[in-house]
Amino acid sequence: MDARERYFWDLAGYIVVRNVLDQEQIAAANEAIDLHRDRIRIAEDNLGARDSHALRGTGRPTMHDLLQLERPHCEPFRQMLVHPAVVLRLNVMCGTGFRLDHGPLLISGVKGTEGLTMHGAGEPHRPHVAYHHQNGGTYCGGVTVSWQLVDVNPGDGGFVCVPGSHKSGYPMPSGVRTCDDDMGTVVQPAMRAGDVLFFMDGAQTHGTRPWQSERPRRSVLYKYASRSSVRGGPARELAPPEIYWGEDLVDGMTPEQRAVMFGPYTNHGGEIPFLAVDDNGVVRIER
Amino acid sequence: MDTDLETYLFDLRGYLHLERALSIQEVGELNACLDEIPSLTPGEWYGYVQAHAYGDDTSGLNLQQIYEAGEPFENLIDHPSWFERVKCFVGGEGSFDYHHGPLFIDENFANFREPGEAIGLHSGGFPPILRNQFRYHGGRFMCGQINILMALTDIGPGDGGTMVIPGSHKSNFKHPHFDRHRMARDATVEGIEGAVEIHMAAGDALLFVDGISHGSARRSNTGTRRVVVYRYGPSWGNFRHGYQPSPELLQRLTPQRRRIVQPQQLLTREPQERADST
Repeated sequence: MDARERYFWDLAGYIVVRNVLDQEQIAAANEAIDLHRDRIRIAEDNLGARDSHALRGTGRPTMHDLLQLERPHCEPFRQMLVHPAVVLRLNVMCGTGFRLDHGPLLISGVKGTEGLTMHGAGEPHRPHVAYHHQNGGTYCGGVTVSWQLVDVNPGDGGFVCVPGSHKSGYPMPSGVRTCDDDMGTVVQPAMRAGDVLFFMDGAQTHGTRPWQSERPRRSVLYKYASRSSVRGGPARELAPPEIYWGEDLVDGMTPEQRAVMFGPYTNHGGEIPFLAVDDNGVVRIER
Repeated sequence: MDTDLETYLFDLRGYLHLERALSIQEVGELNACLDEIPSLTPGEWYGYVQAHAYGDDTSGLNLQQIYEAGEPFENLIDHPSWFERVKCFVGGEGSFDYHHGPLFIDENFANFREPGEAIGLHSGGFPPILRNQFRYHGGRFMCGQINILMALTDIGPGDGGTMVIPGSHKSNFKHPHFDRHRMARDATVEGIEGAVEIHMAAGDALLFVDGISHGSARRSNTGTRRVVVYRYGPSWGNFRHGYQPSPELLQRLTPQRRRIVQPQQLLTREPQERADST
C-alpha cells in the first residue's frame, strides 16, 4: 500500500483500487458466470431490506461455488483469490498469513433488486473484525474484497458505506441502518469494471442500495480474515464440540463443560451457550 | 436535531453544521459592531481589539479579542446555540478539569477575507497535537479545542468556504498531499483528496474539533467573507497570543461569562506586616 491508500484506508475504512483486471480477465469472469447462469439463486423479496422503506425491492440474485466451477471457468476466480493486488494489500490490512474465511460470492442484481440494511460499525465493538492502529501499524480482522465485473456509476446502487464508521464510538442511528434518514452519511463509491473494492467488513458500516441500472450488477465478494480471526463460513460447521475435539473427548461432559469446547466461530446464529457464575458461585449456562 | 444524532455525527466526522445558530437580528448587530471598527493594519489596536494576521499574509485580516468589541460579541461567549454542545465535547464535568470552571476561550476573533484569499490546510489526527486533539475516553469526550465558526455573511460557492476532511480528527497518518496544501502564502485546501467545502448561510455556525484537518477554499467572488471564531478548551488552558481581558469587560460580564473569559482567579501579592510588628 502506498501512502495515499494507507491514509484513506485509515480515514474512510475502504479503498477502491482501479484497473486491476484487464478486459480479457473481465470477459473471462463474465463468461464463466453467463455459462452457469442456472446456478444463480434469487432470494425472496425484501429479505435484506427488512424494515427499511428506502431499500425495498425484488429478491437478490447470488451464486456460490465459483471456485468449484469446472475448468477453465473456475480459473478467473482462483486467480482473483490471490491476485498480487490483493496479497500486497491484505498483508498490510490483515497481516501476513491472512486467509479466505468464506466466499467467493457473486452478488448480482437487476433494476429494482432490493438493497441490504446497513450493518457493521465501530460500536458495538467486535474484536474479531475490528480495526486497530498501534505503534505505526494498522490491523483489521475482517476485510472483504469485492471485484467489479461491470461498471457501477453514481446512483446505480450496490455497495454503500459510512466513511469513518470503523472508528465510531456510537452505535448507528436507525435512520442510517435503514437508509431512510441517513443524514448524508451514506456514500456509494463509483467503480469501473476491473476495479476492486476493499472494505472493513464488520468494522465499517456498510450495506447496499437497490440496484437502479438497466445493466445487471455483478460483484464477486471474497471474505478474508486475519490468520487468527474467524468470521463464519466452514467454521460454523466445524465448531460443534464432537466435531472440533472428537466425540471421545467430550463424551460425558456436562452442558457447562461442553459450552467451552466449541471451536472458533462468531456465533452469528446465537447457538453457542455462554457461561456465567451465579450468586452461589455455581457456573451455569446464561444463554 | 436529536442530541444522540448530533453526538454520532460529531464523533464520526469531527464537526457539526448548526444551521440558524444566530438570528437575523444577532447577525445584524454583530455586523454593525464590526462596521464601527475603522480599517486597521496588523498590530494596530482599537480599544482592546487588535488587528492581526497569521504569518501567511493571504488568509485575511483578524480582529483579535473581538469579545471586547461590544455586547453582541459578549453574548456569543455562552450562546445557547452551542454552549451545552461545546461543554459536552470538551468534557471534564465533575472532574479536576472543571477546577476553574467549565471552559476557557483561548482565542476569539473576527476574520475578513477578500477575493483571492484563503487559508491552507492544517491540523489533523497526525502528527498528533495535544492542545487541539479529539479524544474520547472512559465514556466521555475530552477534546482539547472545540471551535465555533460563525458566518456573518452567506458563504456559498466562490465565497471561500471552510473546508474539512471528514473523519481526519481520528487519522493515524499524515495526508499524502498535506505538504502541497499546508498553510503558507497563497495556499488553499481546494483540490486535496477527501476534503469537502461547507457552505453556510449568515447565522449558521460550524462546530468542529480543531484536530480535524481543515482550511478553506479561495474566495473568487467579489465582496468580503466575514466570520467570527471562538475557540473553547478546558478551563486550565491559556491564551494563544498572550492577551488579557480588559478590566472593563470583566466588570460587564455575567458571572458565567466572566468565568469562561478568565477562569483563573489571580492571587495578588500584597506587602504584609508581620503579625507581631508594632
